[in-house]
Amino acid sequence: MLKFKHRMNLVVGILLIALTTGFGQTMSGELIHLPPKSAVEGSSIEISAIYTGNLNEVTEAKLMYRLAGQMGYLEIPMNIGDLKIVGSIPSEIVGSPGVEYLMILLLSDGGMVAYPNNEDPLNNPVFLPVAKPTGEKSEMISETEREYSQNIIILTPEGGAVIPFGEEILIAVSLFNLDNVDPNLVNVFFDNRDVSAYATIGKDVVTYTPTQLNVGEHTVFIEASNIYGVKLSTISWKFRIQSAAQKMFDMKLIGYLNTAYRLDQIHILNTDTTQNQKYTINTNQLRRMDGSTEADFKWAKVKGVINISNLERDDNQPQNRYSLKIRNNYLRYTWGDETPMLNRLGLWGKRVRGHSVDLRFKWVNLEYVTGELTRPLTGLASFDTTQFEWSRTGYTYSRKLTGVRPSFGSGRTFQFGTFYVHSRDDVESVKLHPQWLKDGYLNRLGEYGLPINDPATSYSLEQIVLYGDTTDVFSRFSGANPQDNLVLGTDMKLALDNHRLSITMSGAVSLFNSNIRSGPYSRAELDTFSLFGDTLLNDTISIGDIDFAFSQLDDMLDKPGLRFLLSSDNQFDPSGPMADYFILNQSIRMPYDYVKFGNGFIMQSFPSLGLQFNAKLNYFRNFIDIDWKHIGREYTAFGSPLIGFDYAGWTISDKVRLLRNMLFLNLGYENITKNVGSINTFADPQTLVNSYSLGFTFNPGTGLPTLSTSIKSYKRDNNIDTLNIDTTIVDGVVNLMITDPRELNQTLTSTLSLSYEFALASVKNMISANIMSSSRNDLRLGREGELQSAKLTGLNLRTEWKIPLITNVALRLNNSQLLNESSLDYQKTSYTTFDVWAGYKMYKNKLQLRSGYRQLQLNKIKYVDAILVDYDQSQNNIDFRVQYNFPNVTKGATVLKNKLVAQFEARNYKSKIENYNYNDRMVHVRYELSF
Amino acid sequence: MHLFIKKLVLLSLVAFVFGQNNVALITKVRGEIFHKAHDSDEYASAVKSGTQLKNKDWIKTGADGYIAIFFLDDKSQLKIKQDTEIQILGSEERGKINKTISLDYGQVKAKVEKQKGEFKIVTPTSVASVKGTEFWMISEDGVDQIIGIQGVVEVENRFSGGVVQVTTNQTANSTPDGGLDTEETEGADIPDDPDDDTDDDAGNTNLHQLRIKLQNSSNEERFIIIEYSE
Repeated sequence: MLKFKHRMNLVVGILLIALTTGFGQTMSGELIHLPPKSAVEGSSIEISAIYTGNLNEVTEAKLMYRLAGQMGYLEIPMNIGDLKIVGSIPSEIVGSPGVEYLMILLLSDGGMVAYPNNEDPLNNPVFLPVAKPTGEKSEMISETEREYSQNIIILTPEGGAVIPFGEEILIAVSLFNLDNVDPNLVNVFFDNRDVSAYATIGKDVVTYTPTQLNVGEHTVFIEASNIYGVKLSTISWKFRIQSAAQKMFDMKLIGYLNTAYRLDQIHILNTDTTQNQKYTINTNQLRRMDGSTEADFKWAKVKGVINISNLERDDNQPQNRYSLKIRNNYLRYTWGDETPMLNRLGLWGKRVRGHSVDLRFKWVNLEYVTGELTRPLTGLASFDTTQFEWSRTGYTYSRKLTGVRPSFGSGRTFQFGTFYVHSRDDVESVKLHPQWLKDGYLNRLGEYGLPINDPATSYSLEQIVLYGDTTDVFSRFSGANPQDNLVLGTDMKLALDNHRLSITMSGAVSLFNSNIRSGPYSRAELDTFSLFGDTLLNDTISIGDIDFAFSQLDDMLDKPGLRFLLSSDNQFDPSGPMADYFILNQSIRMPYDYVKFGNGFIMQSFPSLGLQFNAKLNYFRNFIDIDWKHIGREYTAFGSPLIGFDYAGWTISDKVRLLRNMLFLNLGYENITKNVGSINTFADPQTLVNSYSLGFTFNPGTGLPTLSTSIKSYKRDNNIDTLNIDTTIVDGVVNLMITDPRELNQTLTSTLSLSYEFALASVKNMISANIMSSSRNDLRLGREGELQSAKLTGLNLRTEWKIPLITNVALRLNNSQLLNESSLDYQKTSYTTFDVWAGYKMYKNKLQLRSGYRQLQLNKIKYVDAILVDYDQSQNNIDFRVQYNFPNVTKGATVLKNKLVAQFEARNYKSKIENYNYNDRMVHVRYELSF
Repeated sequence: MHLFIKKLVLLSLVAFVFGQNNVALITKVRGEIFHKAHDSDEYASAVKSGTQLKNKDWIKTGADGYIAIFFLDDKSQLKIKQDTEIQILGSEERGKINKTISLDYGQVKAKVEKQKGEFKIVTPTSVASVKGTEFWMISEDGVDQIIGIQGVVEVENRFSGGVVQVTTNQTANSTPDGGLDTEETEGADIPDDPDDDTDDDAGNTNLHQLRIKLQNSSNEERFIIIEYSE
């Protein structure tokens, strides 16, 4: 109920007439008023104003007010003071969404002054928003929800959204949180055009479906008013339509760029005995740049990598590396340098520069690699003036490789594959006389003292004429022969029980030709292949007692899938299509030895066979790895240089997790036979290598020490127990030559390391101690004794201080001994190293300084000219390092981080016995940028 | 006319309107979708985005259906996958909508931010009460799986009355025999969200997460999350 008198519509009507007539008169002053910023529901509002005219002329002052949205006004008189005019809107009328008011002054001369000072203050009053009172608990109204309660909510699309071209778009906002919305007063603007007529507008929700949207940015603006015509809220946001092309190239970019410069001034041992100095200074400079950029598109990742350095030279294998890689779910393609992993027996871990393709379609896959393993190097040519012969050495042939591996199965639980890896040296890639075709040939001969300028001489590649004597000139390659290698194999992988059990196995056969310079055999030459012991030219290959007619071979190959090996006359000819896949001539290593097979040596009769089996089991906290390999004596795989040859055996390991992974127990066993291709273990003994290892690591957690220890026994035995005694008689004198072919030794190695983190007065420390001991003993009867021993002890203390300072102090003792004093090869060496460094961070870790000092004392005892000599050497190093991290730079969505690192190191070497004292210096500067 | 009568008429009008108020809006539609209005006995097909949903409306998706809806008061989002049927119950109360989703069967994903009203998902077996969170609810043959993505979901088994809280990377299994337990979520069990970018262009992408939990001496937990695809 209202407390004040009020007149409603009648007052409004009278004032309307009065104001419209009153505004035509001249006003002697004006009302100055600063409206309140807001009001609180249920609280009265004080309204005050200052009249700039003569207050004595004011006969009446009225404050007219209404709840926002109402038609009629209520009025109360205002108090006319000495300085200002004051009135109050009663609390009962103050409510949401706000109140409207105006002030009117009636003057003595019949005029009127109003505020707001506009043409129609009754229809354009002052609007004062009204908020709910603070402190009053309103259920579920939080700060965020207050924001929501006053606002239009964007439903779709989100502000800043990126939408593909052609996708149907719905623009929708919720008006739920606005009170008394008048749908007729809701306006929708799209790209600054009024589309309200085409929108679906309700009091709770507004939707609009634009048509034929162009690629690019679009803007939405919506305003809503209530049933009283009061504007409640507006909202505006943007979104973007992206074309298919734009979407294809929409990407995230990450990468890095590092450049480094290194200058080393190092003293090296002088091999030129004419010089007095033992060590001469050698200056090396290294400049390198490493960069990588990866663009992550929706459909693929593209990565470029480059590593270049000044070590790259034409007379050496490439030191630079580059590659461009494209990856998505189905394809992995690399152009440039790659390390493909087809199969451990065929291609594994060898850098190939070329193309690498890996297609994966879950159940069918194809891997293909082609490229160069080594690039051609010319080497050096030298001339023998007595034999008149050029010989080329130090060269390398270009070696190309092609590998294919089709497979079936995704590889997650099952995969079966076959592989073909062919690698061949290009015979034409190294010329016997590459640089002698020009004038340089004569100059080269001149370097060897030949009278090249004497008109009585003449020189050519084939002959040299010296004063009427003609001598033929020979040329030959004196280095490596060009080779050919083919590996064919198959592999299988099986994983069961959620990968707790996995089995892999591979088998392969290799063909190796140690010299393809003469090219492949012809069919006739194969008929009398000396390696088979076949001397008859009868269109038959004879291997021991087995005769195999060529016609039979032709028929065998005349089948789909093998016909490509036949010549056009449907005959097998090693110099025909077969030569594209492998060069067959007298230099091949036979993959089958029929003699050994006939004598019952089955595995030895296949010297080019490689077999591998591996099983992994993860049960009951044990991780067991079982590996078996048999690699034949002649097994060769250019693409897998680490596979080795001529050995077989088992390697078994078990990692046990105990005490909630605080304790790891490691067990290992190895049984390998080397020289497994031997059939005469006395003349060509096999060596059996047995090793056992046991160790554990205990990491109980934060605040407790970590302990790890291990012990390993490694034994070599060639199972020969007797000495060789050769008796010869020369001029009636019996000479005995005794040799000891026995090998029986054992190496025992043990390690212990302990580390502990602790705090002293809030200063963090980490102390660690390491002990390693190793000894190899000769166990041969009559030759028992120590062959070699080594012992290493180390202690390290790292401290992080309360200020940003880290220090590290380390002491290491290293003693090793070779044989004992009775042997002229006896040598005993002791190293003592003391190392200390400190690092300090400043300017919020932007600047990092580090400095260190190391002292190394070496004492060596060995025989020199049968006299035991004691050497002492010392080395003192100091180093400084500065790192500055520049402030990050933000460009759009990309953050650039960069830092500069500079390092200087000086080493001083001293030796009393050898009488030298010199200093080495190294400077290293590096700049790193990442984004 | 007295102001009082004016107000009475206005209030009546408001009451009438609020009884059939819109509570949600369909913003994305894919495949077969059916809608049954609160006052209808039959499902209608050809549902389009922009359709407004009222209290007690039903939604059903076909074998290839997918639909996303927003609630009007706080933009809570509900994504409904294929072979799913739900009824939307929204009661308005003092400027907010208390939302109850009755899930007969199927898979839904809820994402609730800046929550205003209650948000519950009710199945024949369980009740999942949400407070500012993101999670999946899968109901099949009476067996419910609630997979927490973010925040906390309180799950109650309607038969046993048991209650558990499901947090990030946890899955609750609720069965008609009253069984209710939680376990660590297996990455492969999280349904694919059709709106995720990784699924749009990569065809058969399977994105997995490996989460390694670390705990310090103060029992504070952190996770190392390794994402990989195969």
